[in-house]
Amino acid sequence: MKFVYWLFTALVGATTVGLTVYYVNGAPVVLSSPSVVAKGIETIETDIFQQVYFFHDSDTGVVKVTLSFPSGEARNPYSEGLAHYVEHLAWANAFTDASGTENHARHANASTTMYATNYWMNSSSYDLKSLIDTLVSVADPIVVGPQYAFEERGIIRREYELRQAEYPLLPVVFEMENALYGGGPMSRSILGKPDKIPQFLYTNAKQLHRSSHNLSEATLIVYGDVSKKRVQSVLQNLGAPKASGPILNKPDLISSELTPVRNSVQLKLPELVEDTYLYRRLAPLPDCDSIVRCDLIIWLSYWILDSPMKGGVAGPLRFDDFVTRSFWLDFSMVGTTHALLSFEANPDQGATLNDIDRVFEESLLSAFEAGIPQQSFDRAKRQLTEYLESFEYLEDYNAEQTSLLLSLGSEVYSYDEETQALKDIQLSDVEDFLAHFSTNSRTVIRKVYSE
Amino acid sequence: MKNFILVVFGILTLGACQKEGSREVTNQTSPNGQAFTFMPIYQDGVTDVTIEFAWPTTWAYEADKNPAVPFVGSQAILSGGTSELSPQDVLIMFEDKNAFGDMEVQTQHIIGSISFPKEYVDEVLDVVQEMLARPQFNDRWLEREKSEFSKNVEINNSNTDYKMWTAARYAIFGDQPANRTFSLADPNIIAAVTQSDVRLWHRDVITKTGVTVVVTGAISAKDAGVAVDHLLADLPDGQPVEMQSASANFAPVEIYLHDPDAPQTVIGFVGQLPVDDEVVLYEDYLAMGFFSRAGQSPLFDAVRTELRASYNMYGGSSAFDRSTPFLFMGGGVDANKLVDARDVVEATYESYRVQPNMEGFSDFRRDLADQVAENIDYIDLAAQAILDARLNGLDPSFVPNAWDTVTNTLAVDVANRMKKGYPRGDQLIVVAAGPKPADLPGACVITQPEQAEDCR
Repeated sequence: MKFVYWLFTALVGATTVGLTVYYVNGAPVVLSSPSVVAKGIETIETDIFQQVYFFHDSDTGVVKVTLSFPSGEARNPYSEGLAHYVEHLAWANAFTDASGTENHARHANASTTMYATNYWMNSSSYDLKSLIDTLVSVADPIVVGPQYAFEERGIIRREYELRQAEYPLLPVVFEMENALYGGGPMSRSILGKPDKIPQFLYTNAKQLHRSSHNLSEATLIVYGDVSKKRVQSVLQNLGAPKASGPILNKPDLISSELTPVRNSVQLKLPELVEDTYLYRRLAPLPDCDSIVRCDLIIWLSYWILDSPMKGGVAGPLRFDDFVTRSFWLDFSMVGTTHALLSFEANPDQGATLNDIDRVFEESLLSAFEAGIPQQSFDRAKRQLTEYLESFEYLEDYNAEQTSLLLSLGSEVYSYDEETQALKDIQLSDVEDFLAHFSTNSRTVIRKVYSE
Repeated sequence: MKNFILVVFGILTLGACQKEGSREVTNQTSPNGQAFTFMPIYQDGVTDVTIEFAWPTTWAYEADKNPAVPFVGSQAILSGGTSELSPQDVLIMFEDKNAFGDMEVQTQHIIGSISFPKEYVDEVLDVVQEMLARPQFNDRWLEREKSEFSKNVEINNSNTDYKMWTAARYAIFGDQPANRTFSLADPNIIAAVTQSDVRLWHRDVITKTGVTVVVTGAISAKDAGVAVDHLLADLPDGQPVEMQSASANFAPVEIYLHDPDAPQTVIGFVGQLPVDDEVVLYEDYLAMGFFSRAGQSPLFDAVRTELRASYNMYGGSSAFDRSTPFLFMGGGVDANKLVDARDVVEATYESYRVQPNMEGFSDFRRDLADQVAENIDYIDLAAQAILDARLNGLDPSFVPNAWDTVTNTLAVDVANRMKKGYPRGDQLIVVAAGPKPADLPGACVITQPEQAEDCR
């Protein structure tokens, strides 16, 4: 008997992508203008899109094209989750076109976030024109019909069941986001709530689509083994921009009137397997000179706080004493205006959620007020530098990062800008940032007991 | 932008600057007489080394052994520190040196791996050698590992899809010892693990006898042999191990796991893959991967696009142990269309099995070959692939060019294999789980996964 099944897990990995993905709440904020061109990223002039980014890579045999609309759930004035529903319908609409369904269906994917709706396809470079044609057609008026739209609500419900229905802490997370963002658009559910999904209206979806899928607002990203000239030629033949509805207003996603607060609540959740501590801390960004510099300072701060070194929380929580059995920490930008520190933990045997609360807050206070040891900063900076230096295919990196930054409501910046920003950051920059963060923040804590 | 993370340990190698002997797979013997398979990579920019061990074990097949012990023991080895270094010190040292270690529990082997830059070979191996030979097994850390493991099992057991597949395993294997390792459904088994259990397991399994060793990366054969001897030096000789395998019953049966609180309805299909002397590398992966690939496959088209019953269905091929390969399909479905979904999946699979439409297969195969070509550049993934080939009794010399093997697998090969040895659509085991048994009339209704064997 000669089978090699484990070989596949080593060599194969995931080869295809899911059909439709979305990102859970907690991702970034404000819509930025993509008109600021990042250094080291090539652009192509066009009247059709807001911006076209071009990444040439002759080593890959494929081309990947992404179309990003700067409209996600946060700009949706209808039922929660309708932006994601629109993404489903718009994508299906693009493939019901008579221009070659099977070929176009190859490696298609889409995502909806708070800030953006992205569609992407990849294929051989010969298919560039048909890929762009298909992507552009997601802006065409939706004509899938009420029956299809009705059935798609069931599909969305299945997606909810797959991704969220069996996560008992989800209602707590939503309630925390509501408290954190003062009930504003950032606390909306991207996927929608189970009782609201069946109420999605086809007419509302078509209206939201018309106002959110405007090519003149969209960014096109072309990566792969294709020349700039060819891309220009395809774009010239696309013709005039298609008509669309009125562009939605761009409200402030996080109110400037939110004041620092500390909101800590205990609650019981019988279906929970174990006691869980959840912590969110949100603060406006200080002036960091640039978004990329802000992002790198936060990234370095994350690397330090998450580490077992002095200045990090792992030592006090996991090693000095047995306080947490496991924990998860994240520190990231929220759009271009705020930073969010997230932390979740489960107590070790004999420890309580109050122990976690005390030790975690003490650890943070030490980092925020006493500062970070130079050795810990140097180590984090060295590791982050080595991590960035490990990337060899920079066009691929820049293309993926551009798409991700747009979906997170950030500004586009390049690998070169990223590495330069990292080089310039000193310990005092991180300490100043953390001090500002700690004094202007809104903190929401939930101690959730299983019984 | 830390959200953009794509890391596989190891150094992605450059295509150019290869030196003689690079990426040749050879059999070597260490100075102390330990056989090992060796694939050096002599290229500019490659600085890392991976060493993989596979210790044979029958622990999972013995009725008097606690199946949780290997899981708890292997984690305790990794996280327990050494006599001089605390767990925190070991973590910091490994992070500082960009070193990475792991232990994986399979029913027939314990797989250990260590990767590190060659400049730190002595420092890293000194620590790993002690962790392997004289693990601390500190009581408090053991309790932490048990608690972590136990909570994960409880979380899994609360998931409808997970419970459905546990029921499927009980339908296939019943209550035989190996299934307690496959399923590990009872957290009490984990709570019962003692330090003496773990020490006994370590003494009997982590030995010099029968261990399969692979070394890849920036190291000479001579230095690789010295490193292997160093890591094995203080392990006991141990006893020869006679491999065992599980006894499987893939006869068709239809089961509904009733959970009144289940927030969704899921359905799964399992069938036995052919077991014969044919060397099978990628046919089954390609067959089931092509059938169930996301967004455009026959399975997706049938259940989502046509029936409109599911967000997504998944499928593939795998193996419970090296003698028990199987195919599977599954996904969440509209409870009102459960019967239709069952019929459609069975009919679509059967149609594909006997007369597959392979249009688009070459693109799918090309993508797979590209992925394999990319992954094989990573020294740790290459070491895993060579080890798997060895454990399956294959000559691993094909591994450095494994993408060729993928590319040379023809659609007709895949079609012939399915037609010849795959189970018919109506021969599959069907297991559903959800809140309403009436959704699948005629099924054997159970309320706990373990009861699935009573449906036989």
